[in-house]
Amino acid sequence: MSDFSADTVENVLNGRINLDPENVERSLVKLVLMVVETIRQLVERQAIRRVEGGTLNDEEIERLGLALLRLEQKMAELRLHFGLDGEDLSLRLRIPFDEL
Amino acid sequence: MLHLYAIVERAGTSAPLPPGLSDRPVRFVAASDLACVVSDIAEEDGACVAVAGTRADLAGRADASPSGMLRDGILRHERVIEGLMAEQAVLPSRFGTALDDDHACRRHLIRHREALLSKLRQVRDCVEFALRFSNGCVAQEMGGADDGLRPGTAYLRRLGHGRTGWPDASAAFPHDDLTARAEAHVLWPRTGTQPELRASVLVRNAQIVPFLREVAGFQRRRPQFALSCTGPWPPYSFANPDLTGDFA
Repeated sequence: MSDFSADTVENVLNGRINLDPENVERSLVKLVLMVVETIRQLVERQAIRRVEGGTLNDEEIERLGLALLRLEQKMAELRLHFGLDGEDLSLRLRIPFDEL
Repeated sequence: MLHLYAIVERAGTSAPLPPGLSDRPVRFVAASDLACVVSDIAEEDGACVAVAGTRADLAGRADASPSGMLRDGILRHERVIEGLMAEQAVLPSRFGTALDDDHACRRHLIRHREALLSKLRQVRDCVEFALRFSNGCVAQEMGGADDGLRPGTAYLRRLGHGRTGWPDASAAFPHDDLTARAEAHVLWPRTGTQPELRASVLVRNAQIVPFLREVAGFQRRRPQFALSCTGPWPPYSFANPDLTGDFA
């Protein structure tokens, strides 16, 4: 099992795997949260775009915002629980968020 | 001394131009396929009177204060430029631009011929609009004042602000493709005395209606920016700034 830090993901993408048998559970959680966090950010950007595009009414904006707010709060709880910070979950895939 | 209204490609107009400052006739000084549009300034009138009108003209005026005289001069300047714009591309001069004499006009046209022609090509069939974003609303946006907003809406609003990131200087521009229909735009630096975010947008005549529709859409979607739009104006911001000086 590997240590799935952000750097390690880059290593994986480059064909290298660093093993860390002492820290399997935390590493796995970290990997999952990294993926979730990345998707969450993508969804947020899409939401902003829809709001600015004027295609949502006030009620839809509120519901969407509330869902994203709670998702963000839940992610903060999980980060705290597993002793991770935002940088730990930064998936360095060089996704051009602003162009999505 | 001459007051410079504009630089154009063709001397003369089919319709008579309105009188210039001090009721002096507006005339053309041509050289090198270009022309300066000028009127004489009577130096003995003094600068303020010269730009505002003749003494006799002012005598019967309700508002003969310096500010009233200045306003009158600016209106005359503007009317001449609008008369020119009805017939051809115009590089308008800032109000108050003066030249020594006809010889200085010709020298300037010859020296800067290529740059002036390039600018004239850019502004042909275009007008300028001024966009302004209220500073008070910027502060509100920055401060995240969410009074009255429900939590989900407030959260999305903060996210939106975080994405657009209000610039310290006018290096960036509020998005939503507001300038997508523009031929060009100028972002003005924010200063202590002019803290609002301002932009001048050059819009082709055929694109005016779609552009204004975009502006109205932005105002509706993002009222927190308190966007105001004025125009159409002559393309002052797209005439070469150097034209206000360097007439030697």
